[in-house]
Amino acid sequence: MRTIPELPTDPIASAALELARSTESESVLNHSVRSYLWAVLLAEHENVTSDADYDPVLLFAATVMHDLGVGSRASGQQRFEIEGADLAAELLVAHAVSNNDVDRVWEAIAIHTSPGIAERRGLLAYLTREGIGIDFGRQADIVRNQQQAIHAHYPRLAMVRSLVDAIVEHAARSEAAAPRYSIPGELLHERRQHGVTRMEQAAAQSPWGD
Amino acid sequence: MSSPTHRIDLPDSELARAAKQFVYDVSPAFVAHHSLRSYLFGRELAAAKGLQPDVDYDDELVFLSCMLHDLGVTEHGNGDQRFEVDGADVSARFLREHGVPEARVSTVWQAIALHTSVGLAHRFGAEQAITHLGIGADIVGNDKHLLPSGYADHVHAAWPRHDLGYALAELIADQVQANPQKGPPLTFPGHLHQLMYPVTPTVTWFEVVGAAGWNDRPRASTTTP
Repeated sequence: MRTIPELPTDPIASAALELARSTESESVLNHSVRSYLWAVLLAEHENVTSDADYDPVLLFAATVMHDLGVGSRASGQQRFEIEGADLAAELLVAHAVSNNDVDRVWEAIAIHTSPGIAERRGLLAYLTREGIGIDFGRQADIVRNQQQAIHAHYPRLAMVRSLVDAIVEHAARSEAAAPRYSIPGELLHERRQHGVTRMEQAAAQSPWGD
Repeated sequence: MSSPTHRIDLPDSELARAAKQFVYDVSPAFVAHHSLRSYLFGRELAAAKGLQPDVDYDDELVFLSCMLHDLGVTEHGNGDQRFEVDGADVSARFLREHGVPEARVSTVWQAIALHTSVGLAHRFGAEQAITHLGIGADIVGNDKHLLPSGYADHVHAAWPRHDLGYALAELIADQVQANPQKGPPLTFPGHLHQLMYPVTPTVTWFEVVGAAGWNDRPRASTTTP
């Protein structure tokens, strides 16, 4: 029995993985790859892998590049979700991906921290947000048979704390990067006010621990 | 830069008139007035930034997005999702019933669903951006220094505010109180709920000591919260 899904190997997927690998911490990179694997398992669980708009390469692009905005290529002049979406779109355009597909990946990344909205913007945006959500311990039941193998291949390395650190560092660079009532704005505010954030507190209760 | 327009006329298409009528029929006056002002302020701020209606953006789509954007706070539009998305769905249904093509419905849906998403909405297209500008100006005064002198007074005289910021916060917080899934953490509706319905703090040690009846008093060096 196959334990974990394979990663796509076409040139777009390889370039996306290489961009994430070369600009993100290992912890954030592993989080991004796991998010893809969880998203595939969720798609299989919901029987949507034969839907016309299910595309594993675009799903890989969106999940693996969703945190480019906290990596070394992001400038901190806009929200990290937008800077990541722009960097991802730039890579896809360079690989001659169609405008429509570039827009879908851009949107999936731009709204991946928007609960109640991302789930309504089509299969790609839905699977991207929910795949990331599983890495925070939501819907953990769905992946219980594969989670050990996946975590062994791609260890967590204190994912939540590392990611919150990176988001806060990015958000602190400009007012536009950290508006109120957004994930980056609220995490920055909570870090400054209390030291610890609700996202980190919630992680302590998650099935993955961090 | 283009010059300010001072206009207070509204788009006059049958669809635009129907949308305005619909909003006034199902909304409290403070919501309907806010929606209408958001369009006027959006158009004026767009002009101040050099953007012309029906050249740089679709004027009717901005009007529809602004006019319909708060249907989610009305009883008519309230459902099980965050109010922005409930409002986007009710608006999309209204537009489809009036034969509006799907691409135009989609723009309005996005503009409404993202209208509280600061730092995202302005990147989704001209109509979404101008809708966000207008709503932001009316609700929290964003860019109001760019409005022509006296324009806001003129608009407020015709369509009064009725303490909008507080009235809207109450409606949204009450919806979340009745159905917590409407206010996910770290979102605008979630914040309003937290503000209007603060969690009662647990009893502190000093309250226990104070209730003991032994008249213990804080020492000079004790900092009480």
